[in-house]
Amino acid sequence: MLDCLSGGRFIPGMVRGLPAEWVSYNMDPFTARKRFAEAYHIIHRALTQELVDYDGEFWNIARASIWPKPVQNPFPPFWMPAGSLESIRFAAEHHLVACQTLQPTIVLRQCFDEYRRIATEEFGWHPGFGNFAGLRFMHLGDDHRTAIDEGLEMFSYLMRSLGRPVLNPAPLPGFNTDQSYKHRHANPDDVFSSSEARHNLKSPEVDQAAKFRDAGLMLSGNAKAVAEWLAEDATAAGYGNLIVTFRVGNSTHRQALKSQELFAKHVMPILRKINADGPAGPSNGAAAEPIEVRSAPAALPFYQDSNYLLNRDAVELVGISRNARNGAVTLSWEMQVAKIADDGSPIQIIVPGPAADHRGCAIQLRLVTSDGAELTDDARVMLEASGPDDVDRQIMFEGIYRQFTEAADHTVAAQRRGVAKNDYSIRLLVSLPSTAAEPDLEHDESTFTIKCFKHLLTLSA
Amino acid sequence: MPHSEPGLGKMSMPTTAAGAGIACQYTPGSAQIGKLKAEFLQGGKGAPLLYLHGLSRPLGWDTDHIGLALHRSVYAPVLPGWRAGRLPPEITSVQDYARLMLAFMDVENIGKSDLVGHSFGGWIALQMALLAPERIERLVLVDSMGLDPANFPAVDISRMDDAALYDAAFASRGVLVVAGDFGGVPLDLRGGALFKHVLNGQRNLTALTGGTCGEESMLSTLKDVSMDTLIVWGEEDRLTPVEHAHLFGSHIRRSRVAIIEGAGHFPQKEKPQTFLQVVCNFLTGRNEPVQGTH
Repeated sequence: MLDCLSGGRFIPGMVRGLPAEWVSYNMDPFTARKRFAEAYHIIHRALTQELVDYDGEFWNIARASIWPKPVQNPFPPFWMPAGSLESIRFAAEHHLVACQTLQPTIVLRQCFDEYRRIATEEFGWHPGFGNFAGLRFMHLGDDHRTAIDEGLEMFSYLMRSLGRPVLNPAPLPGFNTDQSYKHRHANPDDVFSSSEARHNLKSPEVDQAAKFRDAGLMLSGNAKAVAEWLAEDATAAGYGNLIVTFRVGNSTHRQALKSQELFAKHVMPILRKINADGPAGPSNGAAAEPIEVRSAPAALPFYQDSNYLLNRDAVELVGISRNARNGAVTLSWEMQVAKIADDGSPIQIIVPGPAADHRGCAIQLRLVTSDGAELTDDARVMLEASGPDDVDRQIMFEGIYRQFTEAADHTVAAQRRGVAKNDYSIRLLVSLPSTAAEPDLEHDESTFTIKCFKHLLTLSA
Repeated sequence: MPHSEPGLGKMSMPTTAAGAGIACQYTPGSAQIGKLKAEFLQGGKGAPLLYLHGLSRPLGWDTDHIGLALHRSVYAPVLPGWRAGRLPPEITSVQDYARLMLAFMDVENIGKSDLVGHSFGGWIALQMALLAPERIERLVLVDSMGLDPANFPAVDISRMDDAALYDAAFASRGVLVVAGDFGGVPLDLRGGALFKHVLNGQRNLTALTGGTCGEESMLSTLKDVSMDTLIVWGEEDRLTPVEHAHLFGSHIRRSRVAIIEGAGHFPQKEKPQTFLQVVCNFLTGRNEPVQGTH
């Protein structure tokens, strides 16, 4: 829903939760990582599949379905905090963006380096800068000294108020293994445990603002100073995404807006030039996940959860068209998804593509000429969908008729997932040279069946 | 055509018997045992577990207490004399501490308990298991003192200066990055509070035994330890050498040994997650392999 409302700008963030939250919910922290993995797989499937069955150690879901599906195809990019080896490996395996929060630059660097190593050596892909994100609390002001003083007060308030209730008597066991931080080299400036660094933070003799800043906790000052520090931070740590929290502690709405304005005007133009990925951009996992692949093993079954047949009897069929152009003839069955209903009920017709457990939606096609002869094998066949004015064109199958005649029961699998929304057109096209015998799409033996999924949201309930 | 009903899925989430909320809650207590007073921390829920400290007294409700309290009602007493760094006159032997801890169980109405003893606390636990086996459900010995065999003699802790004690106690050096509540955090082994209290314990042990960390006669009595016993050891322990773990394992009938790699005399501090997985698997009857052990 958020992805639809934002026009495809939704970024799901997956977290295990802070230890304090496991305390509050009185859960066994030794189960945290397994629960997280199960939750990720369920959510991922829910965003990419029409119906989800999941039988896990902690979660059992039968026939779940979310609606509407996200705009981003095949799914929005997932981000997750990744500081431990296990989290870094999970993120690298699934091409998730790895985030680091409130840590010094050197810690970010160590984690991102480990992510790169694992992605390359264990999973065979090369992350871009866009696969990494840093989070910084920030306060900007026109006057450098004033902004620093205000930032100190904001962060101190945060630690006094929000920080206190989440402190456990000791680090909670079970969240990580003893091997989790092998990639981390001890850093005496880490304020979360180094007694010296903690002492320095409290000491009036040291520059507290600089300590907070270098510990990755709170960055404040004028735009020039903030931009300079962030440029060094991003370059040294190697992240291409920055998450900024402008509302820190007891800062006011007005202060946060002012910070944002200064950041957008003076800092963003500088940061945009740093760690920008090439045209290919970062990997968002579409290539890694076995959701959309061009070819799937023939041993897999067709998509099993189909609940609707698109065929000559379907209400969507609106007619047959014929076009002759440049010595070729194209005939097609034309289908139309209904406009959105008066009560606001939307419809989607989904043609599932290959996935890990099936090879895609079944498409059956038989074409004969007017005298009942089988169509020539080398006629081209295409299944496509598009929105009004031909926007969002999606090709679910593209091949030749021989693929159907050689397949059992004249049935092949969709090659790519397609989602036809309200008012979208769906076309099953056949193209052949004008000299060849044309198929007769109205002949009783010219038939097609697409075993798809029709998502219908009724608001009457 | 298969028919489905989108959105009519069922979802279930099982609850866990133990939770971090309960395990993190603890209360300080004090038990009067004759003329002596034993301070203790108690937290968690379930069957009782007595956790006896070693050279360092507990410095608070720490990660190892929380982990054990996920499965047990944990009692972590401070041995009388260990807070002040001066033995009370009533204590003249390890057996005196064993009798005192049995009396502690009486005062706290603990009939039968799991018993975990680390280092010097392991030596006391052994004596308790020999004195009153009917009071001990399961026994866990962690880098336990108590043995002084001729082929692997116990160290004389009184002869160790600070540097030697530090070298013997830990497998890691300097600052170790361990799991914290907010990612990895550095733990300063040499400069932290733990080692300061180890030095206090060294003084107490020297006063009690002259500094020897075991007794020659112990080995022959181990055949009388009758309960299920887990022996947990840091592979690089140089205070109570790992050979002692195997001697315990071969002489206690119903025992098994888990050696934790990369840990010294304090596996619960250097490898806390591994330590807890090993011990909790034993307490809950799970037989799962644990990474970083053999």
